[in-house]
Amino acid sequence: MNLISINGVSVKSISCAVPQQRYAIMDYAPDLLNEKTARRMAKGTGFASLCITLEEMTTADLCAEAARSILADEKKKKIGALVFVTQTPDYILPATSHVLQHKLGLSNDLFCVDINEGCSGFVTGLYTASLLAKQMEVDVLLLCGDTISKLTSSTDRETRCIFGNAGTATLVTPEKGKKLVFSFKSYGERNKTIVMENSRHRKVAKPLNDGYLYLDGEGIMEFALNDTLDMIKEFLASTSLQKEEVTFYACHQANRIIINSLADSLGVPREKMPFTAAEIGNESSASIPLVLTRKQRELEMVKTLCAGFGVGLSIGLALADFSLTTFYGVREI
Amino acid sequence: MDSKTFLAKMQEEVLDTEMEISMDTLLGDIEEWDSLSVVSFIAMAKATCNKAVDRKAIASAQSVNDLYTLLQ
Repeated sequence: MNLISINGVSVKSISCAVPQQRYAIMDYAPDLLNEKTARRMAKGTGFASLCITLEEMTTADLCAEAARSILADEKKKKIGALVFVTQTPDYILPATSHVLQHKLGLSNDLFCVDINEGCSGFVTGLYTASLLAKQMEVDVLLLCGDTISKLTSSTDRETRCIFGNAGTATLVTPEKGKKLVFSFKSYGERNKTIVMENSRHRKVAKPLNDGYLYLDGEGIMEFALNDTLDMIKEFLASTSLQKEEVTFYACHQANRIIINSLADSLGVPREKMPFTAAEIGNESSASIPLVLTRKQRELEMVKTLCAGFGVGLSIGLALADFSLTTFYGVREI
Repeated sequence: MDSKTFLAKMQEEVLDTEMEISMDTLLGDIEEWDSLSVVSFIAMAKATCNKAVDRKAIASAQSVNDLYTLLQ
């Protein structure tokens, strides 16, 4: 496996924003669920309610709102790069990170990049931001989020009742004595496990799920409990960490069955690998910053293992110390 | 895992059904045997028996007992 240490960077702050519209899944998908099936679905997936934006609000809006809390306390001119991780950008072009540079009043002297990544996106973004912070010797604003609900079919229960919307902002800064450790895997042979066929330039005659977001639930479960589990074990061995030494397993909130099963299969208490997305939904790359924010008072953060896994299929792992990170909470907008 | 424990786990955790099931119950007769239950079964197999159950094998199973066989 690849194992990359980046010395001299840390996560200074994290801020999150969700839309204030919150729907019980039965209310959000009345044609797909009745009281009994909604109860069963919520019990299984863990998602009882979803935070959904109004149509005109985008991921960039959510991330910009999250960023404002951080920018109120920081010197904007110290920010030398902006990384926007999303699978729901404002446009195909230009890159939305340029739009956000302007929207947030950041300097024209800015490196901007959009990253098209979902479930593993926070870790991919954190890695990119860390490299930039170290090389450029600047603060880096990492924005991660999605409005995946806009990609789902109203006739597909498997996706419609799962995804919520959120935007997050993370400030990565150069800091001596601090370190982040990363590892990544890509399983492109299984790219159709989570896919929107015909969504851009690759066309097929009969797209899965009529071109809406398609999810192979069984394939994802197998991926989580086999490949992701194995990679976490390998990562712990490579970093000479016992599983008990990790203070917090901050996993992408795919659904409750997956999180609980991962914890049980790895042999760690479920409290250390929490599921906190019951009232918001699967938030794509925003889910790890959200679980960190929600549990930062209850769990030790000094040895946190972030595990993003899913669309790609891909896995990103990051070992980090968030014990001195400032958390701005979750704003509802 | 003995069959009694397996049935209890199937009833309460995997299927979450009020229907009384036995080893002979046909999966096609269980309303709650759907994609959510299949995923729960995969999770249960891994967590309790450390078994990665093949999804094709699950699809071929006709009865509750067929699923039990997959865990052996």
